[in-house]
Amino acid sequence: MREFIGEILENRNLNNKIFLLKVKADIGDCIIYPGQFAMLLISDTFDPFLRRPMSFYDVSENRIVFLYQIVGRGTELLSRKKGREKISFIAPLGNYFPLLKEREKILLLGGGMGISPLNFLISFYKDKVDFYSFLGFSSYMPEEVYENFSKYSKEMIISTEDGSLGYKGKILDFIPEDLYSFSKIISCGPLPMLKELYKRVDKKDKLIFSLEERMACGIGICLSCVVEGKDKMLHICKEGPIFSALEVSFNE
Amino acid sequence: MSNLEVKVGSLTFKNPILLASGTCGFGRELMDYYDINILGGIVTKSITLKPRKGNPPPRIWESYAGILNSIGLENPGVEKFIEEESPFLENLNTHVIVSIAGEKEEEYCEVAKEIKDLKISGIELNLSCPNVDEGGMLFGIDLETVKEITRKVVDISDKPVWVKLTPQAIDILGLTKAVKDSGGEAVVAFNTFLGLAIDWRKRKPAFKRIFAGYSGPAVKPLVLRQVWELYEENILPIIGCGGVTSFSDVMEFILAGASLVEIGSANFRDPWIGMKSVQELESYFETEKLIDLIGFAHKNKEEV
Repeated sequence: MREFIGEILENRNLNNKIFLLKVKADIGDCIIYPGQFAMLLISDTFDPFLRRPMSFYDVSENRIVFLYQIVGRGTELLSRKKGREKISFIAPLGNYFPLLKEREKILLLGGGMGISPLNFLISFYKDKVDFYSFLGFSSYMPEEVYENFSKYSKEMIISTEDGSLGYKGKILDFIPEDLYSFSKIISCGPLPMLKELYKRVDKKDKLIFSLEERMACGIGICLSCVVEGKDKMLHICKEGPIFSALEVSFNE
Repeated sequence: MSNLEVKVGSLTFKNPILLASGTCGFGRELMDYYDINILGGIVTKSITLKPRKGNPPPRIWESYAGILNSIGLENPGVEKFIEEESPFLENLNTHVIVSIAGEKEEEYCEVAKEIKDLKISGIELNLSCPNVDEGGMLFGIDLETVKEITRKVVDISDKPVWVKLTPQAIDILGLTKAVKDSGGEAVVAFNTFLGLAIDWRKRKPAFKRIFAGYSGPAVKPLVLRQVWELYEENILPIIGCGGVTSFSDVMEFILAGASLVEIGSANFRDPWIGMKSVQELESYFETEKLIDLIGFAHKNKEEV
């Protein structure tokens, strides 16, 4: 991993508090895999002090895309950055989704901004893998955000909590009853959604999560971003962010 | 002799830059970013007798120009530390200071005994962690306990012993004298400041343990003031630690009277900060010697 200084191509408000940030950066021979993340520097001054972790939404040659929502002061300041501004990020960090085989049957379940790493996954394999995508949002989302899912999924279902796009309701209500036919179930989104999915899937070895937690360093030295493992604490930035459901302990 | 060389007690450092405990793990992670042998040394994550899981998340919360943390001394325990981490540390070509923490006085002694034969440079007693229910900071605010633990560990270990102080202690000068009387070779000023954050949307404290440790550039002036006062008393060498984010911060600490400087939270923002600071010192001290500038600002105070 290295520090890259990218140039912002655009930082566009899509809807509500959701933004798409496109950055041009010369990543050279650096390989970035779906599921990995970057630590973005919000300010050259020391306030905010920490970088912000963000999954890759898409990477193609020297164009890197992040999808984010304003959740606090850091992302609020990030949203004010304009085209042509420089931005520093350390990448690629963390592990990545298991490599998929051709024609593997995969269920993707994304909630909110959790669709971000799944989008990179689908744009990485395109139609080589049989993706069945289930995306849930709280409210309307422009098509641009889920374009790759529409293009490359065998089947795609979207739901919103307010019914402004797709079905009305929680996306978990729309996934198939029979999950046995999928070779892997890959999910990223709010913790309650992941926990509910965990309960529903019997074969835990098929279930893969991308997790998040408040992070300070992103490189395994601060020990902030922990999730309870089976017999020890797991660090999301270092041992993750991608985990098999077998590793994590979701019992409360 | 290099222009950056500094002697603290019985140890000689090739330069004054150390990484603070809890901000560089056991050194290995940062090796992916630069060769940490360029540093004057590193202070390990605190080791306790038994493994500790640490506190539940959230463990970190940002505040203006700083962070609150409540990690809770997560560490593998001394046995695993010796087995898994010490081989790497013993082969480093820089000083490795092992930080020790405990809930009971005896725990510090037990850990010191266990690591007695390791090829490490010294011990930093964490008598200042604010994020645990027993020991840590609660020991560090009590003069008698500081004396007792320091003396016992000094007796057990043949390695130099430093004490990392808490800024929550009232009598910093008294504590430093106590460390000296007990055979300690230096004090580290400071661990984090006890602070609080409220998650106003949820209308509750951000952290499970309510209070947490505040660090980062915001605390630098507070720490510098204490380093200045400690230097005037000339009791023990001072290792400055608090909000160092750049070469100029390092210089401020040296000029105020710190012999060494520990970089903490800044590693989280910029993993290369230690290396960069050493390189900038190297170019600044091309002709002068750094030791001549330790506490130098005191000489110039009349000229302000």
